[in-house]
Amino acid sequence: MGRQFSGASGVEIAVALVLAQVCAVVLLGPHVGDGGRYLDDWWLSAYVRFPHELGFADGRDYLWFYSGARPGAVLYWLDSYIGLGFHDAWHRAASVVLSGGLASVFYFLLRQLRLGRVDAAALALLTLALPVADSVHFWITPAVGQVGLGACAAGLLFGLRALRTSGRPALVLHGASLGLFAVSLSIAETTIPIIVLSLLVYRTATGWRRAADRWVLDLVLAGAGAVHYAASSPVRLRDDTANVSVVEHARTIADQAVTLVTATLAPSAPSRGWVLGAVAILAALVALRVRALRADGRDWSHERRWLVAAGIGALLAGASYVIYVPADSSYLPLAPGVGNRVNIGALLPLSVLVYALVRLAGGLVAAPGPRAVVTIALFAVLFVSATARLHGDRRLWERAADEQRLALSALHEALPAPPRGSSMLVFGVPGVVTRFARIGHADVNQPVPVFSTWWELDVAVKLSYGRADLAAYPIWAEQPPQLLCGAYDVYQLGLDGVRHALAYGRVYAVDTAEPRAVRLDGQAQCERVIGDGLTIRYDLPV
Amino acid sequence: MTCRSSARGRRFCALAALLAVALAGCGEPVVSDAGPRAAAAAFMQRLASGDVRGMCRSLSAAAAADLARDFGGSSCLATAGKAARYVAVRPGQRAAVRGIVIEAAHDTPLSPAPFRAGAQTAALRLVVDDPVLASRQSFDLQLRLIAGRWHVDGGLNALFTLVDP
Repeated sequence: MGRQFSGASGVEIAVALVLAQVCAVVLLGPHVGDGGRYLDDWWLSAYVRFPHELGFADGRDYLWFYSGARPGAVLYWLDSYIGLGFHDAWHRAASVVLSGGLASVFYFLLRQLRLGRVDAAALALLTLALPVADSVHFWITPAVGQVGLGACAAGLLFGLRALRTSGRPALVLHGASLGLFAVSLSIAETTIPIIVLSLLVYRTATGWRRAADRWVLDLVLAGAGAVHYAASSPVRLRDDTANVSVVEHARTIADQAVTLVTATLAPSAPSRGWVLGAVAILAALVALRVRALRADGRDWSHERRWLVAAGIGALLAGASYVIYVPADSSYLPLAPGVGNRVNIGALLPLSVLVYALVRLAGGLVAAPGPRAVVTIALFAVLFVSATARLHGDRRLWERAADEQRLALSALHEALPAPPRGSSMLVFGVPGVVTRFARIGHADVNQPVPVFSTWWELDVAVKLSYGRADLAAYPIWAEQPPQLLCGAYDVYQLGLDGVRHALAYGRVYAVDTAEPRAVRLDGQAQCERVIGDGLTIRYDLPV
Repeated sequence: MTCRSSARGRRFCALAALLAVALAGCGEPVVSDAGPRAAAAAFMQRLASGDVRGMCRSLSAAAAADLARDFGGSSCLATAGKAARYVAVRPGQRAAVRGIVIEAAHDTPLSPAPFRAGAQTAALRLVVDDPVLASRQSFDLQLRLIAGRWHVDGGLNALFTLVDP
């Protein structure tokens, strides 16, 4: 393999690795200190911290229950909690490092695909800036998806390298490539479509026969992965065809994927029709240019390269959603907040697609100097608009974290040393913070969880106090009744249908706005206190 | 290189197949929770039919104390008797108890932990059509293995919506 790998020298590799991390820190670093835990982060932290008390043998036992279908992810989470403990800021820092790592692997893959340094660097930068799947940057638990995606990209890189080599080194590289694919599949099913379409990537390096020989092995792996996930995915993630048919779900995914692309290209466009029209005009102009170049016998490799790249990007981006078609109907490309993690499989190919369109548009300018200026200007607009939205999303996640910290701080102030086995009915803590934003032509309510279910607040309190014997339940306004003062117990009626009977004398009504805690000792007092209990609605617009 | 073209090709394909099989085999082990489920179902049946002695044989001391919080009584028999009488007398209660559904081991992140082989405790999620609230709700029942038999150990108070003393 000499002193170069993936078409890059050792110096270039080192510079790329460092620059990718620097860019990740610049774009995502502020979230390390200002972010919080969200949804699964609370559950994993609490159950790894108190496995015995919460019904499990140990942390590994819980993680296996939580997501045993993804052994690679379980191993990552276990190792991360062993290595980073329960310091959530360290976990967020690890996520930033993973983001930089993914960008650098993508850079090396693009260099292996014979892209120039500038193009490869611009594309790698886009993967950090595009907000289409930014929940995997801001949310600790799904950040492991970046490891899976990076392993898949590395698998493609080694596969390409193997196809350009022969003999024993080629076998070693093929083995490494397949191993990396296996790692990515062990983490999540999101890379199955990319592996299935690996032939398109291999064809750039070799002829059909050799590419197909290697592709067969990829199909075996991808097939095994598909069978495994189809059989072992949790029931909650499977289809709900009683409510939404598979065809309907597929149609909605396709429609929203188009909006996602147009929103990425031109977030301020009044409708996606404008953007699609512009893309159609661009396609027509490129077609005319190609025809003219070919008629004159001139080189049109620039146009060919970026047309192929756009096609592959579009195909891979679309294919990445196939795995969600038979799954729960909430898995949609425009799902905001925590939901946009479904776009992680489309992140790299979508970057390629939008960048290819930028290069094609810039390529319409004949003169080299102005062409470079126009291309750089178009990329700058794309990058700035992406980072502006990324920043806005990040601020929303951090606002949710601020509300979490306020709530927990108020609880500690109101009830610094709750007696053993105490339960807290918590008033004044929102379930989510929300913001209306435009994604394409759609106005979308973007919620990010504060403590969006009683589960989250319950385990957050356990973690915060360092005690598994405590319980906590958030109470919200403008929702179905969540409390009933019984003769001998307060009944907490969860909005998810799960209820608890909390004994008088061991249950506290906590007003986080004051902050103040009142122990409930009887039915009459309960009705008086809860009746006076001012609380907050579930969703807090910010 | 194809799977049949050479020894190396065959080894490669075998490796790929082995990886595929290994990956396909990953997943969580399944342990039957028949013991705890049968114990929970039997207890509910005894409660519905007023088998007070049977109820006390199926209740741990902690669970009996919790139940006494709601129903009073200085002994398990007295407490269980009052609970059984409540179920027998209040409209819709007997049907609600008889109609309780014990959910299969769930896979939502905070459903009761699935039963483990050799474990001394278990938790189950039960679903009841509450006649007081006129709604279908769930609660978690804890069980404990005592002297080789499963006993209800906690969570039973959430079965009843005792508004009137």
